[in-house]
Amino acid sequence: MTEEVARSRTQAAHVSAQKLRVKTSILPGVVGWLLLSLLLSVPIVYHSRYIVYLGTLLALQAAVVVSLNIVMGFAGQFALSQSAFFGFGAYASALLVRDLGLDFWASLPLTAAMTALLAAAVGYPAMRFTGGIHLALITFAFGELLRLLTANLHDFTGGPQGMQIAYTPGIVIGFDFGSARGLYVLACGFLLLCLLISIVVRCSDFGRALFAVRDDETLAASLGIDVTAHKVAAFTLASTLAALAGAIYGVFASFISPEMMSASDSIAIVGMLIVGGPGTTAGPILGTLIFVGLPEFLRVAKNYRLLLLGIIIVAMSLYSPKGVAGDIDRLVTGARRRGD
Amino acid sequence: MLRLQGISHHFGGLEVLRNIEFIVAEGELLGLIGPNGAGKTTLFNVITGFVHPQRGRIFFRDRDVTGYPTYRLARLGLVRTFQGARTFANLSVEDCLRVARYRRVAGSDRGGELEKVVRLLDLDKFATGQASSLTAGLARLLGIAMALSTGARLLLLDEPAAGLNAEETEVLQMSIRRLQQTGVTIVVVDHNLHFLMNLVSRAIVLDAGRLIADGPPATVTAEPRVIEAYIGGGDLAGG
Repeated sequence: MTEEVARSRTQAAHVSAQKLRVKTSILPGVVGWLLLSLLLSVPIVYHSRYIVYLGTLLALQAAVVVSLNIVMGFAGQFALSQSAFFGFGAYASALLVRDLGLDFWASLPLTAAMTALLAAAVGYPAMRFTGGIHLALITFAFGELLRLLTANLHDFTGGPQGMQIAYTPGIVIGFDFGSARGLYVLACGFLLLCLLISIVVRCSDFGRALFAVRDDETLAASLGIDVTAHKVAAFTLASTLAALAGAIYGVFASFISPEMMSASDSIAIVGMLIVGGPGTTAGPILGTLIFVGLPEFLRVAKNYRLLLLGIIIVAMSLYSPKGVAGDIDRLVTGARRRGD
Repeated sequence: MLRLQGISHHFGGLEVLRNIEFIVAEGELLGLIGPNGAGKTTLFNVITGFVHPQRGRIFFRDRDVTGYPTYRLARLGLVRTFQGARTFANLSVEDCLRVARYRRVAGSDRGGELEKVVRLLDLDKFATGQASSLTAGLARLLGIAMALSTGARLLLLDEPAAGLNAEETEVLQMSIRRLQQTGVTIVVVDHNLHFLMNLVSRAIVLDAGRLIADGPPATVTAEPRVIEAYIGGGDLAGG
């Protein structure tokens, strides 16, 4: 009898401790969302063309990093084709509008479908038998192939000189998405959509299975998880989101070129994720701000940026494998968690 | 439940399995023993689809499953655990178990009996902790709990008692027996013969890739060929 009482007491204490932990772990998330909404509202409140331009650029860039996080941060697959799909999306949408006479908005679902097919076709053989460094090499080669193809199909894509984009998203329900501020809202909306998707994935059985695959493929397979299918699905989702970001970038920059697909951009995107914190929700945003925002604000010449960022990547992967987001998390949760 | 027919496998010139044949009946608790290098682990890998045998066929619940990938076998209810403490290090204990239930065998809830077994393994209080923060013994129990959570019909345990202390071993033995009562067929590989002999009703002995004995544990360990395989019974005494 007394034993039972004692047990129920310890259980009650355990439950309340758990509740407390849940409360404190929600706090950084709330602060994060507040900071993000504050950051996103700056270009709307602050009237500066440059700030709006930079904000749009950052939002689209962050969306691509969020998408990479799904395949690299969650599933642990080193995909180096993010910028290739970003460029593919831009071209696919632009060509659908130019050659088929579609509306910008109508071109988006078609672009997504085409990208998903292409990504699955590339991802399946790349992930069926290989992984790790092989996947990085295959996706790298695929990206270069796509870039060279785009640069050499003069009649179709305009070749290395690129393509002018004359159309805008236009006015939808009284809001002009073609204006600088409209494009900013579009880019932010897309970033939030990507974040939402990544959070939904993270909390789903599918997402947990991706984390399981990242940690131990053999164990995951032994528990009935089709490892290849999960990796390919993550890769396809990530590539599709990157392509949609590219389509929006096209109307924002009004000019696209094969340079969008360059491998150094893919590497930079990987760098942003590593710096921010792979596998975390806030990591991609933090990484983008540090990677793109910091040099922009410091006005470092473009040639030195990669050098600077290279040093940051090496330092981060050596001393802080969970990125800035992981560091903040550790600071907040403090002694409760064991440091790695 | 499981039928092996003329299974042979070699790595390069080394023959690790030679014409292995046996049947595991439904609801049975079977032990698989043999000295180091006898081919026990390879046999486990062959049964669970990690290695495809060069010759022979495997039938699971009357279905020819030779060449099936591991994840398909798991979804049919053929699940293994691994030597050592193998878990998803960056997931919480709760999430590890959720991942295991994700692709569970259809209709395998067995009236909450599984949850009871998982609770018996006493992992509840660590549910929110990271799997990597568990002790080796607890991580091993988590590995078994994960395999159970898939709704396995045939469970292959690869050295489940290695590295556990006496108390943990007892809990494990109890859990395995209870599990068998729920209708799960179990095959256990272990070096610890005391652990195995107290547990199983039938033992199969492998030596140098061959099946050399099959029968009740007491009879099997008394067979000269088995004693010889264990080098004069040294291992038998030592456990």
